[in-house]
Amino acid sequence: MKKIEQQLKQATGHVMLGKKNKALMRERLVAYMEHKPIRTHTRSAVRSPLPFFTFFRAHHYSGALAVALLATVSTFGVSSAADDALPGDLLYPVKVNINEEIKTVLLSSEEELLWEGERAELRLEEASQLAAEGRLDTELQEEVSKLFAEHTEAVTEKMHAIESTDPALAVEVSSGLEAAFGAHEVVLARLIVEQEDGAGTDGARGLVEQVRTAALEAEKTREDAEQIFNAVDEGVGTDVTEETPDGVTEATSSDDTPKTESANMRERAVYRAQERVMESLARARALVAELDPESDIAKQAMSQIAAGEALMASGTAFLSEHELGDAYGHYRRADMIFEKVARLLEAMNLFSLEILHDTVVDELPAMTGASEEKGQTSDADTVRHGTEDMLAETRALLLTVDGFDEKVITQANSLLKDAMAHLMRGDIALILNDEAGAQELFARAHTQAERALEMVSNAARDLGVVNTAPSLEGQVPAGDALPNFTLTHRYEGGAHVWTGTMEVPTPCAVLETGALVAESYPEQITLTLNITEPADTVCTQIIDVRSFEIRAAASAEATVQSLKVNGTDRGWSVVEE
Amino acid sequence: MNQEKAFLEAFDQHADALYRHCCFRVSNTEIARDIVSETFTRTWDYLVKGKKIENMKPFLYRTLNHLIIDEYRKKSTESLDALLHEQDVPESAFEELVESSRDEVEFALDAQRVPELLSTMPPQYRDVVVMRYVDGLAPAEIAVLTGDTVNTVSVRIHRGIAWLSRRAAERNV
Repeated sequence: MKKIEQQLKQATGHVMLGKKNKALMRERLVAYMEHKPIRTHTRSAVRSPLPFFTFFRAHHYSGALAVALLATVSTFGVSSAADDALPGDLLYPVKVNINEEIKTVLLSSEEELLWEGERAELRLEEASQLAAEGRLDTELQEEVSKLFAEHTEAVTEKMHAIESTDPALAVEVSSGLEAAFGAHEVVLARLIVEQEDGAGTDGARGLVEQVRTAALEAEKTREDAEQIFNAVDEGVGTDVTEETPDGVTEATSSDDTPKTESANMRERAVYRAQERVMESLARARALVAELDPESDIAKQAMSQIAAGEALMASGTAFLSEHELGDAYGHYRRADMIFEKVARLLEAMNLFSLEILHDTVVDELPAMTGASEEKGQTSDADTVRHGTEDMLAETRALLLTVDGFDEKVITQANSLLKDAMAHLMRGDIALILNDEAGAQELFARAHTQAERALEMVSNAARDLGVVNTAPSLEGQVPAGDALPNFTLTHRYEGGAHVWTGTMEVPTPCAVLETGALVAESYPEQITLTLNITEPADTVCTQIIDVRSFEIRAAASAEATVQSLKVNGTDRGWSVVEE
Repeated sequence: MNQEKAFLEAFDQHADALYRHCCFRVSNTEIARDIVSETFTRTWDYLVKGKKIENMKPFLYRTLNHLIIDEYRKKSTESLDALLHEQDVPESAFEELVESSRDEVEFALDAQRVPELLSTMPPQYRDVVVMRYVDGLAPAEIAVLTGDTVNTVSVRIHRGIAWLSRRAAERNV
């Protein structure tokens, strides 16, 4: 009789991945490795995935561009000095016509696309600098406008050229530009209203309109590219193999090469988006950390970051299910939120502006005398106020009704964000006396607010909240719907700390908390909350609220995988301290 | 040899064994494939961060093991105790069996039925039996992976084998 070890080995030895499956897995792994290379000391040789998003960091260039810069511009003493020039300066023509053009020659077509986007942003950066100094007159604005138009035209043309071959890159670039132009538009508009007498900002007014148009064009390009990207997604089966009855895997497709390539493209795009969103989140967080945590600006920024994090979490959930299209979409939207928050905060630091979406929306009309023309803008105003009411109602429902599905929260937040962005643009259009434009933008905001309110109201009804008017008192989720927990999180001294409160059925109940750290990489943490009643005690049934604190030693990257109350999974949301 | 090449060689060398190991622990080939794939990407992430892996095989098994535990947690039946009860195998049954023998157990297994037998085995015993006999890991290596003591691991292996022995005997009757 054979020993157990030999018997088990013989009985199980035939279970293998299968040639095709192994090859496919290897190929995906190679794609992943290519996307996330091990970096060495010669870091500058590796191009950053986002080289051109350098908003308001004057004269900072990405890896490949830095290499190009070293290789060429260093030989030109004058042209190197010209890098600091602004429109109107003597050396400015050298900067835009020699330095920047030389770099273009050295770049690949993909790098050229990114570089044109960066140049468009540089022009806006320069314009903002001039507007902040009260120097952006009409003549300089025209110079900047002309160059900005050339860059945006070039980048749009190049994006259309790659749309069909690399839709992921087209989406990446266009959504980056959409966020960037949107932020620049706000900054320029804010700079206009900050100037007490409007001196030196005439040019900014003309430019704001141009930037808004460019942002809308970028949005359109992004939507087109997304359609192509999703069409690729739908057209490709993710499972090219089948299991044989005995569990041994065999590939069934005789022509899996194109599918593999598409799968690789989509996987790379998702991983690129994942990496980018983590970078932009870190950047936004770092900027928020510099603010007074009690300030309105910090709170608004945190609330937007939280909305982005919810999208990011959904993206990760989709990725774990291998739903690449959805994962990509969620990461991209989260990235746009973080990018915009970061850009606005950077602008705030640079120009000492108090600038956030809500503030801009509320203050712009009053500060620019738009209210004086109220009679002429009554239609726009009516739509605007109606939209604001719906936004307020939607927010109130989201805040007061517990137990919403995460998908509903994510989609509603996304619609709220878009509606607010359109309201803000409408306000800017009013400043520029563009009544028709304002009405169109307010109408868009109105539609989005309507959709958000309808979605949240329906979801609230499903949860048993009959009256959609939110009430803070006595609201109990119907049936088995359990409310989400809101946890406050901080990371200190190598440990994650979550704090929160919980209702227990009686004052005698014992609340025990714990954290289970699965030491995978990165670690995954399960938080546990257990309520027990002392066996030999009779206690009045009065709900008691307990505060709790849970600590878990783990790396900063660790994530909470689940939260269980007496063994049952519960939803939760996290607010960073 | 550069790290990329070494890493891909590790894939070529260990992917099948990791998959086999995973198949018997999660009893689902598709999930097993996903877990093995994620094991390698996470390991790569570790290298990307500039960290060194002295011995690739234990690292891969350790990461795989954690992902399998994560997978267990995703299941609705969640706890291992619940799984144990679900299969109607009281803990006390093993207390008796463990006394049977601490030596190498010898009995006849029907090769066709081994996967089925393993899939019905209580997870806490199946895990160590798979590591010990399918993967050929020593109890000390398993202890490092599971975070238990060598003694605990050895006891579980013997309990698992005793369980297997009893089931095999029942089927042969």
